[in-house]
Amino acid sequence: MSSHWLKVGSGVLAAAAVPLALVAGSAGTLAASKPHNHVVLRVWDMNQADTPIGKEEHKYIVQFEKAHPGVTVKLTVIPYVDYFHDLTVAVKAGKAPDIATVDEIWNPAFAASNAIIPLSSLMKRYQMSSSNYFKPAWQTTLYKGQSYGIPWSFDVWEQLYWNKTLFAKAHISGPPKTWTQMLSDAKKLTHAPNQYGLAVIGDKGEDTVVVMDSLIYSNGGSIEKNNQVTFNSPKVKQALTFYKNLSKYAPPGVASATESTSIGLFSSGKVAMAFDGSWQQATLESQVPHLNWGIAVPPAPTGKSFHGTLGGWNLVVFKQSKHPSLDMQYIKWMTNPKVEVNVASLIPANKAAGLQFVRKHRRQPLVILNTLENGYPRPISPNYLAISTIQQNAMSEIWTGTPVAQAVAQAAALMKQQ
Amino acid sequence: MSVAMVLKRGSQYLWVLLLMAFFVTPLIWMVSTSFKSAGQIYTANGPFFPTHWTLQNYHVAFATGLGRMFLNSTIVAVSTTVVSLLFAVLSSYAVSRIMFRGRRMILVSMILSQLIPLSVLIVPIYQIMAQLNLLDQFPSLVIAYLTFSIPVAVWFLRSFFLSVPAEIEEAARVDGCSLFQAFIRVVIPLIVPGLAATGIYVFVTVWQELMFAITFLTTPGKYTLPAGVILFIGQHGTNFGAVMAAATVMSIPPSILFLLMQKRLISGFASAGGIK
Amino acid sequence: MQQPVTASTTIRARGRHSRSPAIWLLLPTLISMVTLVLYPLVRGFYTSLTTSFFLSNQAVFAGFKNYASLLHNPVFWTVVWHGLVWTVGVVLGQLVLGFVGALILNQPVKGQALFQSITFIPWIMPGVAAGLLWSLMYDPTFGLVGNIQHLLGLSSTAYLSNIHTSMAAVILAAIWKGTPFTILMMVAGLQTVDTAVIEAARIDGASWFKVIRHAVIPQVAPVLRTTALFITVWTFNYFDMIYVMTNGGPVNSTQIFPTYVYQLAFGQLDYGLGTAAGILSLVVVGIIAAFFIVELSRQGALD
Repeated sequence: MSSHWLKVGSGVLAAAAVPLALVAGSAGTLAASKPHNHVVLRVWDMNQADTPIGKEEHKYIVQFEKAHPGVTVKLTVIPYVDYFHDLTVAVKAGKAPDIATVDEIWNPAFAASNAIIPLSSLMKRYQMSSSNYFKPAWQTTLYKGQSYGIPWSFDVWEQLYWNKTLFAKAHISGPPKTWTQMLSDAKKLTHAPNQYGLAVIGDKGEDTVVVMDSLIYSNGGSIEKNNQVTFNSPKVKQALTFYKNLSKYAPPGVASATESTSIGLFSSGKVAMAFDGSWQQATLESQVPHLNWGIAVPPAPTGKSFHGTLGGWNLVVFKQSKHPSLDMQYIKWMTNPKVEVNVASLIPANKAAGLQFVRKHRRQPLVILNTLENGYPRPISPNYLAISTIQQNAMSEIWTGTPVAQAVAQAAALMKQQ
Repeated sequence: MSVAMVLKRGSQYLWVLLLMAFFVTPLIWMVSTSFKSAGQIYTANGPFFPTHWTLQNYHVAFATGLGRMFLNSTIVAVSTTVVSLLFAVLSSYAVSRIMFRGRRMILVSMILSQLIPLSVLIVPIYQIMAQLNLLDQFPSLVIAYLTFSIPVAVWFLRSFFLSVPAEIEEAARVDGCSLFQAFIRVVIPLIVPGLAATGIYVFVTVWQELMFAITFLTTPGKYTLPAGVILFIGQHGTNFGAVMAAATVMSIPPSILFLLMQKRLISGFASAGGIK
Repeated sequence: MQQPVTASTTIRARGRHSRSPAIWLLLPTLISMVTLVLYPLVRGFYTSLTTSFFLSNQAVFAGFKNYASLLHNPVFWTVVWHGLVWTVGVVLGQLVLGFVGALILNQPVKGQALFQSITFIPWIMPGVAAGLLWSLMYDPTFGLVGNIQHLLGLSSTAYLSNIHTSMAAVILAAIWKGTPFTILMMVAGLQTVDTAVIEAARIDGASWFKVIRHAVIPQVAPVLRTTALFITVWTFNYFDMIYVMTNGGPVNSTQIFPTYVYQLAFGQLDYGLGTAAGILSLVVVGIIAAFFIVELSRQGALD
């Protein structure tokens, strides 16, 4: 009798394997095995929105494979929202790809935890020069004086989008140049609850941190300098007070407003101004073609000049890769201006390609180039993610009524513990 | 019909209406938004229904592979359901009908297993899948989903087994059936509604699972529906129209299936709730 | 302590050898639970005793340092409190609305089956989609809630961005999403209720409320308890909706264990600390579950 049960018990395990094998089969795992000397390059990239960039990349991958017989490139493109999670879990579990795109704010942490390799000697071998890249983009690859990545694409998070129709109605001749002007213009443009001066991003996310940083940089402040926390300073407090004052002229819900909310408000004509990057130009053109908008270099405090926050993506080589020199050849191929101008998700970080891209694809390229040249990166630190979380919480506190000075002091104290 | 009857009827419908208002309003909003252009979604205090109906969001959603994801989700959910039921029906029978030491412990640990946050388990499970070479393949999901489908299924099925009087089984054994034959021929047919109810339960939980799906799957062509929704959340903006279109597609068809299976299901859930 | 077991529901093990069937039947389940739950849990526990930087593979054994730093962090205690508020709010809401909803949908009205299945759509919808739906609805400018306020001439309020309303707002969304399961269970439960008892109470002139209280609830109590146990556990660990709606903010006002653990372990990649928070969350929910298990055991549901 009990032999039946034995058969059932073990039989179920075997039976369970059948549907598993079936789904495995349907997933096409029975790929033909490659010849022995074949090298597979595993490359991960992310997709910023639902428009697939992988296709364009594939064209150049095919060319790369032709130029390097015996090499197959396996490109995995992951949606932005999942990308950090998927990449870090893979690295943590020992399954890192050979090459990946990483956000420049992650680059130092990947380097400090020994997950990726320094590229300086390989750059020399393949005659790649750091002077080919926009300098602030290049700086984000550095950790302890060594370069751990090749800048691929970058952009600045802030230009001032302004609604020309609403400005004309309020008899304001043009976009504000100083913080004082901005506040008074915002006030004139506010007719709550139907119209507001500007959209203010304030949610718990990186999109809020880049606005904070830009205001701080424009006021001459900084988050940290030479590994010393410089956050608790009058300049930072002034900047965040200005940020808070701006929110008086923004629609309700600042503490949960994302970049998506902000550009939505701007495109609906509900607000007259918004800070955003040049990537939103395409969105506005396709979604609200009739909207009469322009961009401008955002205002700065009187007598100072505006500095935006830079963002971007670098290509890195993982320690687990068995063929770093081949990886470098791939990176060189993809960052070649002729290729890069077609595959980068933002503005190519290679100067030649970048200039060409902005002139070709963007309205008011001079404004964009100005903000790019004057942009600063976020703190280049292996602890950046913790710093960012602290800044997000500080801003949340400020929205909910904590005095700016107190929120800033608390945040600085937490940053020092990092 | 007497006045009292009319009043009673009327109040019955009033209650149904109130209840429906709570559940249905967001759904109508969802469907209505799915037919709005981005410009209309981002219209301040815009109308409830679209002024111009557009299929644009559905085009985007299907161009991104919604159809394929629907199929993937179905494959994963059906396989998980089959495997879990297979495992659970045996275990559940054991913990319901056979006296052995450690039975209570097994029952309690099944509940305890449900308390562990996924974030603690996910990296070790990922490593197991990597070792088995199953990453980015459906079996990795099916196997991972067993962690939460089996314990619940064992508990649900147990109440069905308990509702089958042991006398029926014993009678079959007097007629010369072995314990195993009695199980297959007599007990299983009696718990078919329970299997259906438990099966639907497992299907629905798997249908909406997100964390394992986004961690294990990296090829967009293999994404399940919840992982697919993520595709519409970009770094710089969320395509709400496409999200609503996808949400409509992934929730309405299963509900129709539900309508068709409802009678059987409800009698099934009655036993799962512990009614003997 | 072994509870006495009635012969009518259990086949007694005869002699030593017939104990084996249970083992064979449980084998597939035990193998999968040991490899996929127990082993990862033990690994997780070990990880919680270590510290490592970001992606570094060099974990340093640190004893209970992670636990100590959590227990000394006020944010941790906020999370404990919010976890309880969230769980109690969602579970109570789902049970009450689910029970009342089941009573309503159990009435013989035309289109009953259709109404019942429409009610189930939120349950079938993936949590990410439901979360995005509700965050759009709560938007003060573009959302349904904002529209209604606008129509009523009220100033629009951003419920998700106010620390005093954000928790209530996510709880309401979760009640909408999860109640259908309770309705499903309760509709089923009500169908087994002995109507004779209800009729008797009616004839005695008991009010509707009393009938429910004294004739219906006792009969469906076992279903209610099992349902309550499962939804408590699921709610405590439910991640998807809050993750897309508020990500725990503003100012941790909707931070519950699953989002907190995720933020520590996968947001900041402090995996040791995140896992320690996960283990502590297991303790918290374990205490809640213990009450249910004792209660179930008292009813004899474990025999």
